[in-house]
Amino acid sequence: MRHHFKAALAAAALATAGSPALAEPGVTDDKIVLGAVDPLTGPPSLLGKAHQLALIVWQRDVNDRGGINGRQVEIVFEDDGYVPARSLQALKKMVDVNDIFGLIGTSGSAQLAAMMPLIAEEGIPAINDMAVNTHHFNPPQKSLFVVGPTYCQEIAAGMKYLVETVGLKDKKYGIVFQDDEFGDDIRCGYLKGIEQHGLDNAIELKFKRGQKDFSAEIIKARAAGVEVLVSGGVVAEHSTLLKEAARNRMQITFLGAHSAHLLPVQALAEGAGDGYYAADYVPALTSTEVPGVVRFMELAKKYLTEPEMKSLNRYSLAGFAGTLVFEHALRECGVDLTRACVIEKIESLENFETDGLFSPLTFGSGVRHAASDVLILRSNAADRSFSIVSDRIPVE
Amino acid sequence: MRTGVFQESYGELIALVRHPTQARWTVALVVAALVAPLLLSNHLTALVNGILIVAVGAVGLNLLIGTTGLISFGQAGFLAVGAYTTAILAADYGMPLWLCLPAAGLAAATFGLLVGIPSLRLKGLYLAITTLAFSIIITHLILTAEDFTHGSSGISTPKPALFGLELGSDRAFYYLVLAVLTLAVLGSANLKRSRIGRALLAIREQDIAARAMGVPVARYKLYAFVVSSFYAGVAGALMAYNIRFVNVDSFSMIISIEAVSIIIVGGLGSTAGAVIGSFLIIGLAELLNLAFGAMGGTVATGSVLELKSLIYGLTIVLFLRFEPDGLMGIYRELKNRWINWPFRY
Amino acid sequence: MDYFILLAVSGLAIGVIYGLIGMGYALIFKATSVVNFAHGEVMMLISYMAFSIASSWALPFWGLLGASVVLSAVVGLVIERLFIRPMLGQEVFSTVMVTMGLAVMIRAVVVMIWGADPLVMPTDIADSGVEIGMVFLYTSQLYALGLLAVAVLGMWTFLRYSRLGIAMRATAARETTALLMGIAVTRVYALAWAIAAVIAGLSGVLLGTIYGLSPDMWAQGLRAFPAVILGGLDSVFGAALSGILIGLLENLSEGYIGRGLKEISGFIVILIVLMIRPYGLFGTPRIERV
Repeated sequence: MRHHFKAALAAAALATAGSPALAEPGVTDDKIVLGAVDPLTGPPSLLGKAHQLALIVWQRDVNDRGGINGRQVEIVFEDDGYVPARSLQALKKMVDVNDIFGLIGTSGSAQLAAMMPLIAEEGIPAINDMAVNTHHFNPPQKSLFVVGPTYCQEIAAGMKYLVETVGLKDKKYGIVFQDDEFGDDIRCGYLKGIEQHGLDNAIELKFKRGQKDFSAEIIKARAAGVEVLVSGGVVAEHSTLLKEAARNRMQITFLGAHSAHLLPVQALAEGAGDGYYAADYVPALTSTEVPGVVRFMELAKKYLTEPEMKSLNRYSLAGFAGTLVFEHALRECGVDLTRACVIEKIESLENFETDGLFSPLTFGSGVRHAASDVLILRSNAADRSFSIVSDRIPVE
Repeated sequence: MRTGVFQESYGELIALVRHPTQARWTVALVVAALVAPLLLSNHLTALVNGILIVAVGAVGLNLLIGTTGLISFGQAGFLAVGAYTTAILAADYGMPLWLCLPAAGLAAATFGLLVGIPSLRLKGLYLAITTLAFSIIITHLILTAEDFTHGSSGISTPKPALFGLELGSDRAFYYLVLAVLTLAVLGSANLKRSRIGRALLAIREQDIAARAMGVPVARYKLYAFVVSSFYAGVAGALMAYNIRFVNVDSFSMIISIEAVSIIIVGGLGSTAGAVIGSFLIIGLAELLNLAFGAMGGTVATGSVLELKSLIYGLTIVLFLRFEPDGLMGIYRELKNRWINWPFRY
Repeated sequence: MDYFILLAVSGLAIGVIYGLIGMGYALIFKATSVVNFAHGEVMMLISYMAFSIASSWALPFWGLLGASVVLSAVVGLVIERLFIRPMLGQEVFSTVMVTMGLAVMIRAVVVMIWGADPLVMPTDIADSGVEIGMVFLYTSQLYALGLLAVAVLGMWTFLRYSRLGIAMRATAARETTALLMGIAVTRVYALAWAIAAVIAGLSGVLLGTIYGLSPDMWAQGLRAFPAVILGGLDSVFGAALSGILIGLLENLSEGYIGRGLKEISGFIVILIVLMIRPYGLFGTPRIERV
């Protein structure tokens, strides 16, 4: 009796397991399903929510204009809370349950690293415009495309600006950087800048992630006579460093990577938050001279509520521009939409314009990184904004 | 309903299975466990994998806290050691799974020995705080020993494979985890019914009296730490293979607190409780996910994660307040009520 | 020498806050034998509540502190009544686990109500400070120093001279005997939690003013824990003094040795103290009788 029951069970299981796969996952006659993993909760939600809102704006605009080749776009959002294990779990769920076609939200650097094996295994076309790291594209992955310079390239460009345009070649330089991959990347750019322009590297200070009190670090920097400080902090650290430096009566020029290009950083630094530099690859939300920004802000006003508008920041611009790349490939593939086609279309992009949000993007066979040249922005505390103060600086 | 069940010999007293009914239920459980992945979706199987891996660690921790009475918040540190050992050996040195798992256990056990030394002098809260400090220091050390551990970049582990069999899919990996958990549970049950297990119980009740009776307290306390951390190391190794990405962030203090709450919710001292507790605590998070997913739309509602944390914290508080004996305690009460009905228990 | 003075002053500035937080830990442990793992979270909660108050009404800083005192007392009493009182009679460890569960809950509630973004405490003393020689101290840091002195003095007189204070010491020494002597132990517990919450709240407002508010502020509470261990878990003054010592140790070790020692030096201190002298510098040894 027991034998029959078990056999029947096994047969049933096998029968259900062998269902025929869809022609292409995530694509039906009237729908394309995309996925996005973002940190929507927790402190990094500053990034995740802004990114998500941009994707929503894009989706609503595309659908209102008739979809892509007659198909409406649906985006499945998953929150990973910035924990790599959860990112992978979220992606697994999106693959198993939601059957996504492509991935347009890849969360942070370590989070994407956790998802990369699954992305490669399933061949999911993915765009990373959030957090760029060398191991995302070196060695190049088949279906993962990375837009934006690494922090190393950003800071190196920033240093170039400080030396050539602001004229700070003879000053003493110092860096305060976080004890993780992110901080190491910033330091990489810093050292490149030091070497390229023959600068005086007065001090390098490492700090543990999550640290709040930087008085010891600033005291050491001051003792070393630092006049230009490069910050390898994420968000709040920039502000604290600025405040501590002001408290210790230090006259410094401050440079941060694109995570310093955020209004909360400016606001948290209170009095000391004026006039610092941030190296970024997208313009400011108020850069009305850039058509891409104007277009995005108009769409955002149309589709988002007032409080949602307040959550927008540079991650929204980067996310929106990333979706433009994906949209282009989706459209080019026409009605016969396959993953292989999309991957091929993105790969063959040459000088792809995003209305000034990024500099023209180029991928290629075996090339999965389109760096985009760097812009330097300056913080204006008086009108709570940032303004572009440089032309695009090409990255190496 | 069993009445008149007496243990009349030493053999019966320490038997693993005391009654044919128990044996039958155990077989049913084994069959269910073997068949489960065929009936569950990939996603659910992956979830169960995660729970079972946590259960392996919990069974070990239960030996330490429940059986020996030594409060330890060091679980996160030992999991991290196990996970990193495996990741480094598998990714950087290409060692196979059957070597990495025990190696991870041994590495964690070595640290366990270190962490156990304070237990010879300290008790209760003071010991708990010491283990907490150790756990934090261990994770800090992992971060700083960059050359070895890749620092904060994390390590990507290769696919698990056992003697040529690819275990990359969730279903295949499930069987590996199930095997390890079975060994863990058997080991723990055997330990508890052995001489050492009884000595550990004596230490829990009153260690000074135990020493007076001739129990080598110091040795057995360290033994408890070593065994418990070995389990945690193996669990960490399984985690490394399951998540395929190892990073210090996954091993914060919160994991230690979660581990202890699993033990308490499951029922202090009960191996089965450790497993059930894992299902409840980890499964709760996923259950809430499903519940909120069913209620929300395509845009995740702002505070879902926080609400989950809130409910999770509340669960712990309520259990401690109303059911300090945990789920096994509830089970025992229900069983006794059922047996004695219609009489009051 | 300049370098040393700057580091020492920084250490003192943060150490004073550690001392305040530590006093709260010690008071609760002294009165109830419970280590309150939710202390950092309570501090954070009150800091955020103060933020809401400061955002709605323009108060002078001392006014904000005063409002926080009242708020903290209420919060402390509520927590004690809802979460701790029902655990009376159960093992201490269970109550400690309850505080851990409570900590998780408070963290979640803070993010649910105030969001996850870092915030600035709107005060009228934001950037102001004084310059003493080469050292510049924020006004808020001076407040912290003053508050610690007031707190230490206040606790000393309270515990020594007031009836409730003596009742608290009696309960801490021998709870059953205190009950027999007619002391309302539950009231003592409630009072201990209220006072601890007040001290926590004040340190939270100060931390929020100096470093800004963020949902991971509770970690600062954990950083103050070594102070309480060093001083002795049941010594309130020991905690205050050790807080300053830990602050100095952190900054000086970071300044002279570096390598991220600042974060970890506290926990190393915990280990050393617990191994060598578990009752800390000023704690009372507990003798276990069989």
